[in-house]
Parts: sequence; C-alpha cells; structure tokens
Amino acid sequence: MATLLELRDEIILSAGIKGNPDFPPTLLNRKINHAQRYVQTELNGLGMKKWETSQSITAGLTAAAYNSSSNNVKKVAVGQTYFLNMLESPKSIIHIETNDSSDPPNYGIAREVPIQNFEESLANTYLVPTTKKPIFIRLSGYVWLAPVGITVATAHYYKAVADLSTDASSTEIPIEFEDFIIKKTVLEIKIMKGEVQDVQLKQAELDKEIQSSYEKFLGKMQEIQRVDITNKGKLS
Amino acid sequence: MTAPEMLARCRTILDESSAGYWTDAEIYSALSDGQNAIINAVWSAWDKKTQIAEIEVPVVLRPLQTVVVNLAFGTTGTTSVALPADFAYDLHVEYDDNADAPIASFKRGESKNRKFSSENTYLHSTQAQYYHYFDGANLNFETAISGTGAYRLTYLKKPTDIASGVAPAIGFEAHKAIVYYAVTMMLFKDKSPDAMNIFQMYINELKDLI
Repeated sequence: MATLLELRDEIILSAGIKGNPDFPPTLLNRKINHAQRYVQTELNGLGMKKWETSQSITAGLTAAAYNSSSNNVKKVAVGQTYFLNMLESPKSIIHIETNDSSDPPNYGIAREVPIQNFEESLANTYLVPTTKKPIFIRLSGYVWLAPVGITVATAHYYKAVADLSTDASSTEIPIEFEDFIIKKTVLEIKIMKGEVQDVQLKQAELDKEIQSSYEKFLGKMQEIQRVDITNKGKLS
Repeated sequence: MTAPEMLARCRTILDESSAGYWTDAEIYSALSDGQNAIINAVWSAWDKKTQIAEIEVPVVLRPLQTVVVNLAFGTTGTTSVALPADFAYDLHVEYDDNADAPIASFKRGESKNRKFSSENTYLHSTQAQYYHYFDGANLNFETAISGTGAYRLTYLKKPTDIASGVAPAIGFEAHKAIVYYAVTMMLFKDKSPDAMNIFQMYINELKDLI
C-alpha cells in the first residue's frame, strides 16, 4: 500500500509541479484525499466488503421519547463520536447488534425499517419491538433504536475511506486501484493549471478506465472461483 | 585566458599593442561589462527555459555557484536575513524555523497577490511547507523563527571585475565572447563600422553558451 508521501511524490513528478509554490504538500494531501473518495465512490457496490466496519455505540445510547410522553426508544447521535466516518448513503448501516444486559441477556439484531413502520410498531400493541427483535430508523442526525430496554449495541456500517493525514499513513484503497488516486489527482492539478482542453472527456476516460480495471479485477475473481471449483472436483 | 591575456587579445584585434587611444583601464572595464552581460544573458535564457523543464545551471555559470549555510541564526520572531554582498541570482533555499535541519522551501516572489496566497489555508507557510521571497537586500521567510532558525541559500554570486590581477570569474567557454564584447565597445568609441561585425561575433559566441 502506498503511503501519503509516496503518492504525493509520484503526483509531483507526473503532474510536473516540482517546486511549484501553488501546489504545496497541504494542498496535494487534500487533493489526494478527494481522489481517494472518488475512487471509493467509483468502486461502490464493487468492493463494499472492504469498507465494512463495526463500532460499539453503547456509551452513546440515551433514553428518549419518540412520539410519546414517556421514554420508549434509545437514540444515539451520528457524528464524530459514533458511526465515525460513516458513508452518507441511506443504507450505510448494515445492522446493529443489541442486548438488554439481563441475565441471561436477550440478544437481537436491529434492522432498519421505514419511518412509518417504526411509528406503527411503537404504537401497535402487537407489533411492538422486543429486545430480541429490535428495530431502528435514522432521523435528524440520530439513530433511534427500539425498544428502550436495549442497553448494549454494536453498529455495523459502511465507512468512508479514511483521510491520509501523516506522510507515513497508507491508503485503504485496494492496491489494484491505487494508481487511480494518482491519475485523478494529476487530472485535477492539470485542470487547475489549465492544461486540460476537454475536462469532461478526460474525466469520462478516467471513469471508463476504472470501470475497465474493475471488470478485469472481476475476471480475475471468476478465474479464482473456477480454479476453486476444479480443485473441489478433484478432491471429491 | 588570464586577464592580461584577454587585454593582449583585445589589443591585437584593435591593432594597438600598448595603451594609447584605448587605455588598459578602459579595456579592463569593458571586459568586466562583457562578463556581466554574458552572465545576465545566459541566466535570463536559462531562467526562462527552466520554468518549462528542469535544466541544470549552464556550465559557464557554474563557477559562480555559491552556498551559504547558517544552522543557527536569528531569534524567535525573525523573518529575514540579509543577503550576501555578492548575491546576484537565487537558485534554491532550504529553511528550518526551529531546528538545524533545513528542508526545501518554496519561492513565492513578491506580487500583488502574494499576501492572499500566504493566508490561504492550503498555501500558507508551515513547518511542512516553507515559503520564502526576496526583496532588495533580504531573504524573507514567511514562517518566523521559533527559537533559532537554519537556512541554506544556494545562489549565483556577482563576479569580481576583471583587472590586471583578477582573472575572469566565468568559465573559459565564455572568454572569447568577453573579448569580442570589449572590442565592440572600444570600436564604438572609435565610431568604427567594424564594431557591428565584432558585435555579431560576440552574438554568435553567446548563442553557443545559452
């Protein structure tokens, strides 16, 4: 995995900006981090496993009243403490593991439900969520979990690629797609320098190149699968 | 060529073997002017070229290359240092605001927008990216010293004027051009039509140096 320093140095050479006072390290680092997000977005749905993460949100659980006079849910703020670096797409939270700390604890997997269903579940005696079958919604910067008896929770979600901050930090972008960080940053620099005549065309070419690389990558995966199947055949 | 050899060469072309119409001081002065003219012309051409592609300092200017290293200068808050008396053109600067390990510093020349750049979040001078600029007499650092600072300045020095005991400061490649320049100036004094011919010879020599 390339470090921030390695990426920056390669970009400086590729873009021809050695010693250019308009492209110092701070700006290049910023551009590299933008490019990382671009590559991650282009790879979304392709390599999403890479971006799964989990975090305990127990300490952030607060009892709250949702459309009720008494506390009927737990809520936790989405931000820099909990759900750190979570992608902002609507389905970013995969699910939330919960339990109620009873002896023995009642474990449950909270699933996201539409807001109307959440309200209906809380209001309807027969649909009320239990600690074994909890539910949640995302609303107004919070994750609202029901029932209120949940005391322990671990969230599984998709995170954004972490920004590279120190020269020694390595990119999380898979090694197969690392060069696109460089290509995207170089393109951005050339656009800033006015060296690219047709920006949209160049951008489309880069998108296509990533897509093509991904298809090759998938081809490789299929090949691995084929070999695997062949081997299984031999074993049986 | 030594300075007396240059003088002798000039006198041969001028067909005046010893001081008469043209004094030695006059010719040495013209030789010095020639040397300066060549340095300025070669520098100017190289400086323009090097903005497009990285090209090393022309051979003829190499004898003028000088490095000043000061690993403990100034006190907290210092932002500038006086340029050496023989400073002519800057090549590169390294700086460290609080230790003795200078790193490459970006040159951001004084301009109408320099201040805007120096206050920009991404373009301002920090310990990770130093910026410097020159004014008439000083080398200025945009990040002030905290403690003691260190810098390394690589530059081209001004040549010492050519005189009977002072040899030309630039390489032998330029000596013929220096002589042609001096002879041209002497012939101008004489209002000789040959001046332009010799000047053309100077130009031809200069082209080979750029």
